[in-house]
Amino acid sequence: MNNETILQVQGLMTEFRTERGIVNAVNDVSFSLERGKTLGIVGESGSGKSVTNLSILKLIQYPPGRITAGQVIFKGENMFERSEEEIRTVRGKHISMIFQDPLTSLNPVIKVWYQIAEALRLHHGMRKKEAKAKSIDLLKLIGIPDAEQRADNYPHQFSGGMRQRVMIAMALSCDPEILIADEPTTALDVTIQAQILELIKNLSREKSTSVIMITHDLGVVADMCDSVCVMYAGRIVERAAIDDLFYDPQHPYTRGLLDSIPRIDRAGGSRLHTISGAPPNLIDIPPGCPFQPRCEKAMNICSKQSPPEFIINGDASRTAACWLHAKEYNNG
Amino acid sequence: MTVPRLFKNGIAVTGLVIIVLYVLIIIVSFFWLPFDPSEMNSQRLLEAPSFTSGHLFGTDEFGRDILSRIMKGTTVSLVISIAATALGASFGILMGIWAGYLGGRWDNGIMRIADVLFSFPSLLLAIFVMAILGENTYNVIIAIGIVYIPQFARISRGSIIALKSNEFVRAARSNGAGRTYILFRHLLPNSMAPIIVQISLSLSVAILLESALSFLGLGVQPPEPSWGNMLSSARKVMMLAPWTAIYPGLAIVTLVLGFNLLGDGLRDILDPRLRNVR
Amino acid sequence: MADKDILLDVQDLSVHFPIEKGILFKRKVGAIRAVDGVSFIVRRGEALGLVGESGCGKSTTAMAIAQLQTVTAGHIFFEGKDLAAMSPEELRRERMNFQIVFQDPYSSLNPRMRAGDLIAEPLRIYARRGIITLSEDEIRKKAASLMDRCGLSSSFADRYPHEFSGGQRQRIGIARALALGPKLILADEPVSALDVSIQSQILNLLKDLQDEFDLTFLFIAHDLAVVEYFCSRIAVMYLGHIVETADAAVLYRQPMHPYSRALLSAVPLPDPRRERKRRRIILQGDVPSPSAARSGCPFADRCPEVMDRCRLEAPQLQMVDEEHEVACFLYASPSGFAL
Repeated sequence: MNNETILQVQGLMTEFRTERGIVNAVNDVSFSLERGKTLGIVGESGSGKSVTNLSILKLIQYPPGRITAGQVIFKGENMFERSEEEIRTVRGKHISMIFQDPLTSLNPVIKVWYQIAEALRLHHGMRKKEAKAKSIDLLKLIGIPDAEQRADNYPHQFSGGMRQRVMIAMALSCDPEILIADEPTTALDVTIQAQILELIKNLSREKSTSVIMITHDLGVVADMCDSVCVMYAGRIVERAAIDDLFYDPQHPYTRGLLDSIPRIDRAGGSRLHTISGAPPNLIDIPPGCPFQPRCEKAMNICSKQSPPEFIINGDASRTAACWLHAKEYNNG
Repeated sequence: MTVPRLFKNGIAVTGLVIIVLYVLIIIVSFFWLPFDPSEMNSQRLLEAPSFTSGHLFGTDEFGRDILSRIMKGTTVSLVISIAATALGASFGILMGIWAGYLGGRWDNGIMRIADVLFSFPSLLLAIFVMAILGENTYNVIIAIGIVYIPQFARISRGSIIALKSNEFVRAARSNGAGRTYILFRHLLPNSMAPIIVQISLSLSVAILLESALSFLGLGVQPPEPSWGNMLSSARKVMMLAPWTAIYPGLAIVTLVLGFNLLGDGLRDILDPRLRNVR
Repeated sequence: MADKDILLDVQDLSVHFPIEKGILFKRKVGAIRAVDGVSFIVRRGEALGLVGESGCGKSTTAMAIAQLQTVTAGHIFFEGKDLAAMSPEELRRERMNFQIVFQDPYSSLNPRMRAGDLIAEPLRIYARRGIITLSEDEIRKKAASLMDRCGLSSSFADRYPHEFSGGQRQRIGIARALALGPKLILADEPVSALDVSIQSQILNLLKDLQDEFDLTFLFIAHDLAVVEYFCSRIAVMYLGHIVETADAAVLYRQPMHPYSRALLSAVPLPDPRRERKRRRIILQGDVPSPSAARSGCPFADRCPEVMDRCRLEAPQLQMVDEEHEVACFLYASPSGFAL
């Protein structure tokens, strides 16, 4: 296994200006992605997981959004120092995204093949005919039956699952090195979700594409990812290899989340564990650790000072932003 | 919540100020006018505006004071515009919300009638109605009101249809609420935003329609002054004495502008997408 | 039949939506068979889960039971009484006994009403019609106590829905559903719009309320884990039909219908080691349109174990074990009786 780091995000900060004040949607987020691996970013709504990934591609609308600090290093080069022109080449060609809602992401009045071919013509300068042939090949690859005929359909003639597959075909058209999937299956039924996840898994295996999987579903993470970052209120609270996260969670939020989901592989009946309260409003994040008002293990320090990311067991890729892991508070 | 937002919106405030100004003019005109608006003076025909004579806006072809006539005409114009809008809005909204809420055959029936009315240009329709009803001030109100009915029916039907798929309507039904209750308690209050905007825009169009009708001699009948019939009579002497046309025209333009500004401002204020929800 | 234990008895329920063409003169050109001959019972005190993917007719079934959706055919008996045969006045009285918790905590609350008024509204409607006798003061007190019971401080009674979070809004919806003291709660995806950490709060609340008020639930969801946690019995729906009903534990241990098996295997488990070992049944294709004419089993086109017979005739629900019914020819003996 080569452990080549393909993407590195360092100290990313993104804010939005609103009528009520500044929202720190992403607050000092760092992570790295290795070639051919799948990184999961889990969090609830408002945790900043989607904004993080939009920031990577500089897709934040200004105003109201603004990336205020940080670096995104893609294959050794800082993306934020590149011109808009250069970033546009990276987008789509080297890093592609798929979004949650395939219907609003596709243009309703343009034929399906043409939308897939667009990126090919743009980034590879393919001719129309050639691009159409490649588009049909891609439709076949993602398992659309009668691809030749369906290529001439419009998006509304496709079902939700098929539209999401078209989005994947578009994202893969230029053989990207990184695929960012933002809740790609949230709008889909489970049996269709299984098809889509299988498709992404196979494609990333065959072409050793790196994947960033943004989701709120811990089941999807367990199925797809090699490592995980857990986000809460704009910060990464825990990062770990997949097994460590599920079998040995170190942050009280991760633990609470894992305990509170009902699971089909466990008998029902008993009460579920709950995390009290609701995720904070990002306009007034509580002082100190953002999770502290909901945390069962909150200590004095937690409401005073925001915890740094503590390294667990000397493994730099295993961190938890929780004071419980500071030497002076850790009595276990 | 809406009121302070109104005052933060510059466009709406400008419109409101203009309208309030005209309302003040009406109040003043009840107690005091520079001259008697219907008193003719053969000594002072078509006199240019001047401070010394006291005719600030000049006089018309009968020597009547134009300023006094404009002030008097404000009442006519505003009363017609408000009454016609009220008439059109109340019938139109009732038709529209029932059509939208009941759907099916009712909707089809009511809206086809509205379509027929809608297919005529506003002014043409108003002229038809005036021709049938006869020329007097009350009939101007009715004519403009009829022009407005399909417009209000359309808008209220649309917003009711958009709202009725909300689950809170089902919730109310499952709680034993009747149709009328749901319509007036749940649906209408939530559909007021576009209707309020339409009302303010209708007020301005009514001024124009009234002026147009009066200009064509179908509206307010002389010697009763209205901005429209002032313009109409100015037509013959406009080249000689432009002030006879300029001042009533300015009055129309500014009041219409006032209502339009208020309407545009309200549209921004009431747009839920611009309102910050947590 | 007159079993005292049976609270709700649905027999051969069908809901078809006509597909119409023409602008002025509409003519029927076909029908979407959203619910197509569904029968089941709900016993007093139990929680029956109705699961299936979008478009399978589970929500339509619930709305038909709540008498908010016109029924094409079939009967719905609530405590032995046929709801369709009631006069509007009788139905209004009966409505107090079955209430709905809706999916969307945003659109299910009128944005212009305060929380306290939202919860008090059903009481006010029934009091005004003289069906219940409560003074305005008593209504307000009851609404306040319901708010407290559902985990919302009654001091929030004057706030508008947009001032609450999604989870809190769902609590308002639940308090409103409880106001009239119902026996049956039709819960239509009550947690699927909520964040993970909020879902468990609401599920626990519903479970506590079930014990405290002796509620019976018809719980509609697409999330199998949620249904398994909450329900004692589960009915699986596909394309307007119930394909399998079983005890919750039995269904998860031993699903029999090929669709149930595929559905369960498609749910990713939050357990990476087991995920790696699992063999998933990946179904081909999409759910067919419910308007297409069909003979035979609704699942035949996607079924990995399809037989010739499946395309010709539709299998009926048959008892294969105590409390376990399945509609599949795999489990039918040639004579048509269950094995």
